[in-house]
Amino acid sequence: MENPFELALMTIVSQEYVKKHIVHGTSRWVASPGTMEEVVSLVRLASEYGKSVTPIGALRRLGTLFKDGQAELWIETERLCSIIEYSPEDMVITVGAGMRLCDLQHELLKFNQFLPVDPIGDVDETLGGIVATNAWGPSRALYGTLRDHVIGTRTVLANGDVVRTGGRVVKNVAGYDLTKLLVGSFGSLGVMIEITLRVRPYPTQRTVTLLSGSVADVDRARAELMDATLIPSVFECVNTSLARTLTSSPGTHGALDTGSPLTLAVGCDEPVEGTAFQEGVLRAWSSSYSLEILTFTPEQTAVLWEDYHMTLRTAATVLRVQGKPSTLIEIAGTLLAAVNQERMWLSGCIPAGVLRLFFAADDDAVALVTACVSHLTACGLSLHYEKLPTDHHDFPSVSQEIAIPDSKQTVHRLIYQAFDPAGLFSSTRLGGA
Amino acid sequence: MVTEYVLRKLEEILGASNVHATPGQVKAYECDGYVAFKSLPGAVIFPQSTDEVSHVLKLFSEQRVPYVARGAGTGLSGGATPTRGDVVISLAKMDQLLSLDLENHRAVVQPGFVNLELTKRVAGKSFYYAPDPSSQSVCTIGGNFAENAGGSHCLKYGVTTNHVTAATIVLPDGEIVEVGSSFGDEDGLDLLGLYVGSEGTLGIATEITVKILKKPQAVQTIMALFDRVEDASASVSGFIAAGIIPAACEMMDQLAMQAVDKSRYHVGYPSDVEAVLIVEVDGLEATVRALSKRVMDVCTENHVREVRSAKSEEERALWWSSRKMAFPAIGRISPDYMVQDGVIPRSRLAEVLKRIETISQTSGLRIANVFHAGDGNLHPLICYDSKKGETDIAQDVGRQILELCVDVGGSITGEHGVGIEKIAEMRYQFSQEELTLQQAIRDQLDPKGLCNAGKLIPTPSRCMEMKGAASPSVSSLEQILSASGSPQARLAR
Ligand SMILES: Cc1cc2nc3c(=O)[nH]c(=O)nc-3n(C[C@H](O)[C@H](O)[C@H](O)COP(=O)(O)OP(=O)(O)OC[C@H]3O[C@@H](n4cnc5c(N)ncnc54)[C@H](O)[C@@H]3O)c2cc1C
Ligand SMILES: Cc1cc2nc3c(=O)[nH]c(=O)nc-3n(C[C@H](O)[C@H](O)[C@H](O)COP(=O)(O)OP(=O)(O)OC[C@H]3O[C@@H](n4cnc5c(N)ncnc54)[C@H](O)[C@@H]3O)c2cc1C
Repeated sequence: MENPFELALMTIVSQEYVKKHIVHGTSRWVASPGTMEEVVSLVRLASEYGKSVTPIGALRRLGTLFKDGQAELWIETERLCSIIEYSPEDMVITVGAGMRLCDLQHELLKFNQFLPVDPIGDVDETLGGIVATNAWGPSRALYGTLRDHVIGTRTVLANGDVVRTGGRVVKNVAGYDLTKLLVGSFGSLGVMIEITLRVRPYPTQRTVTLLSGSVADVDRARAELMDATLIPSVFECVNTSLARTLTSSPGTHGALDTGSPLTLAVGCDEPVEGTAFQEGVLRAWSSSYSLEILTFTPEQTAVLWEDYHMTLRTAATVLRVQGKPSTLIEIAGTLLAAVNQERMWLSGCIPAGVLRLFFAADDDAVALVTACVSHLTACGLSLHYEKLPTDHHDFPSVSQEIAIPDSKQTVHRLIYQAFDPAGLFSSTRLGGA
Repeated sequence: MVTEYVLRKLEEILGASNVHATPGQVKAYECDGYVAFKSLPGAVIFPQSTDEVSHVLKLFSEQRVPYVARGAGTGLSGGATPTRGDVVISLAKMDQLLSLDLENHRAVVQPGFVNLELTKRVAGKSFYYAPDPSSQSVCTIGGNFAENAGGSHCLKYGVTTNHVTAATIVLPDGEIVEVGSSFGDEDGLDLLGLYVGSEGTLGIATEITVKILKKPQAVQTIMALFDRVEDASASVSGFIAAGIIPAACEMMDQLAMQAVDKSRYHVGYPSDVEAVLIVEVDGLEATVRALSKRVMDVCTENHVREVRSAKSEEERALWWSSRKMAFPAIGRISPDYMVQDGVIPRSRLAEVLKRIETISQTSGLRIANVFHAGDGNLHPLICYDSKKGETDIAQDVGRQILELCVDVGGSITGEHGVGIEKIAEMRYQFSQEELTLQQAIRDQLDPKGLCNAGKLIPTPSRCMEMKGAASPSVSSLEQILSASGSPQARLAR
């Protein structure tokens, strides 16, 4: 009855930190190490027993893969959640990869600083998880993605070696930038145990203005904003159903005619005088282009983003579309005219050139996703699923394999050869996942 | 040695005029801006397209010919220097702006396109290219890509890696691969992130897509003179504590100020101030005035002797020239000098500068400091006289400073790269396991070890003997920067 691998696991982490699940008749273990040494021992053990490994955070992203994933040992980083070093003066912090993003933000706020990322996900998602997925939200428009904020990691490799990538200083070009490879690697290159981030002063205030109108008018405002010297901290295009939830809180409810097909959310993280100026410019555009305008106070803005996240995090399927900013509004317009948009939310970071479609988990999802995929594919756009429900075999394929050409696949393979020649972490490999 | 066969094949691919192999033709390519090691290339070639580069690398792979890419040769770590009779692949003739999409904030350039040219091309429409190394009037975007170059405005806007969105790379086996994504995110691993800063050791970039930014509405440049270096350092921390991220925050010490004041860019720094800060704030007109007042207030709180903002565009330009021409100006006060590039946590600035001074006193060599104070990127300029046999001392001083940077939690290089120069110090910053992983990646992508081999990652057998083989020549940096950015001028070097 006693499984030798399981027994060995328990010599590394105590029993309470090992859980066994039987999935489709085979055993899978979730182990929660409390130290770097334990992570190393777990990886070595798995390697010795030929068991595949997947690092996990809060399992928000991997919730689905867990059921049909192949990894036999899941290394959970939950207990690696301390602040290792924080130097507010340097605006640099190093934390355990299992730290929750919300806890990190809480610590940083004590020094009036923050990590300017707002990924769409649950409150308990971990830094390891959001870094490994390079997850992002609307503040990408000004601040970029985690790729721009993560300056170093400490990572346990497949052979049990512990390596530091990058460093703890904001500028550093010594050796290859392996940190970049780890960001967005979906746990396929190693277990990140520490993450070093550059953070920023918290803005004196954060506000948002909504501009709603016809596709053509919103597109004009988009062109103006791209060409202006304003500093939009958010530059997001959303559809009617999402705009409706954003204006549902007291004080803003009913203030916007959400019958307009598209709405631009333009954020401002500038001090009061800057915000007033920026709002003035937006107001002028709203009258030139007959757009409806609604400005939010800092308090209302906080509520708006909470509503935004609360709505989108319930999505079961997320589809990403990339293209030139100048084309996105029109793409969104034609798509929304072609499908029943009541059952989906659209949100796109215009300057980054990305639209995301969020679909609720309901009976019509497959049909709706299929309609969107065929419409967008016909426009010649490349698509990717960021999230799929557990039971996703009815969803249309947007095959990543086709998107990644052979020569690039080769480079991927070579890099995996260098990091993980035996394929210990293979179960979550990109492209194959 | 490049064989006759290889030369003939190269001529077939590139045309005879693009293959230089006589000693007279190749002499100018024996080193880059790091002149302590020189060695003649086997040949110098000038491809003009991605396909030509691909054919060349296929040939080199088949014939096992070592090679090194070269942009403008302004690198300061020996990255573009041949070490084993390598063929230098000059990208000087791939210097076109391929496309410009202002509406979507992107430009696509060939690697030999000069950094500052891009800003010049888009300035009329109020755009600019943010990474601004001091060498920007001559260095190429390909060289910036390979070194992940920084600059004065990287404190707020980030370094090259934050501004490149896609690239075409010719792999060491001649295959062509597109990395990154002009918009959105790269699918799969962030290969672009790996390639930027890989110092030309994993392939050759032949097309680069970069972001161009809208110029800020308003800019104010502030100069603050301090009696004590400690006060200047404290001001830098003070800005951050006040929640200000200046667009730029540069420091020069007394020796550096004296040197630039002897050059064409005479500001007239009082001879007894210990440090000057050049701080720039930018953004919306409505906020910049208040920001610059806060910057000045912080300086005042830290006992500044004099602080003021630039009254005109000319004054601002002069201050910046004085900062940007500081490296070459050191040549005016010392027969030889060596530039270091260590990074430290900003909060340790005062302490580290003090220790550098102690190192200077102990060694008897003067050290000037010119640097990106805002991001803790030091550039100690070690003054010495090779004719007096001080080269070894200078190198030892350089090593001590870099080790000091690592000891306080920093890095041996913030923007100039490892190249030949800092290869030994890599062992000080990285563990054997970390070096092994880096080498493993390199071995996979360049299994024959032909692509800028012997640089970046120390291997037990190679490299050490390359250091200190010759002494730097004083005026070379000044020559580099005063050369015009035209292809002819670059070709002539
Ligand atoms: C409803 C919903 C919608 C979402 N939509 C999006 C979206 O549109 N775009 C987007 O980018 N993200 C999206 N996400 C994902 C989410 O923002 C994060 O990716 C996820 O929450 C990460 O946190 P986690 O701790 O739950 O990670 P997990 O789900 O546990 O892991 C996520 C990935 O990271 C890896 N990983 C975790 N920790 C480590 C570590 N320490 N070292 C190495 N690898 C590690 C895992 O192997 C896995 O591949 C969505 C999530 C939800 C719940
Ligand atoms: C006075 C002076 C001031 C400087 N100031 C700064 C500064 O402020 N910030 C900063 O970051 N640097 C600075 N530098 C260093 C140097 O200018 C930069 O490293 C610059 O990026 C090098 O560009 P280059 O075109 O001269 O490249 P080169 O010196 O020709 O080459 C640099 C490296 O890039 C590789 N390479 C070149 N082109 C390609 C390509 N297409 N594909 C692959 N590899 C390639 C070469 O093999 C070499 O390893 C300064 C140099 C001088 C002389």
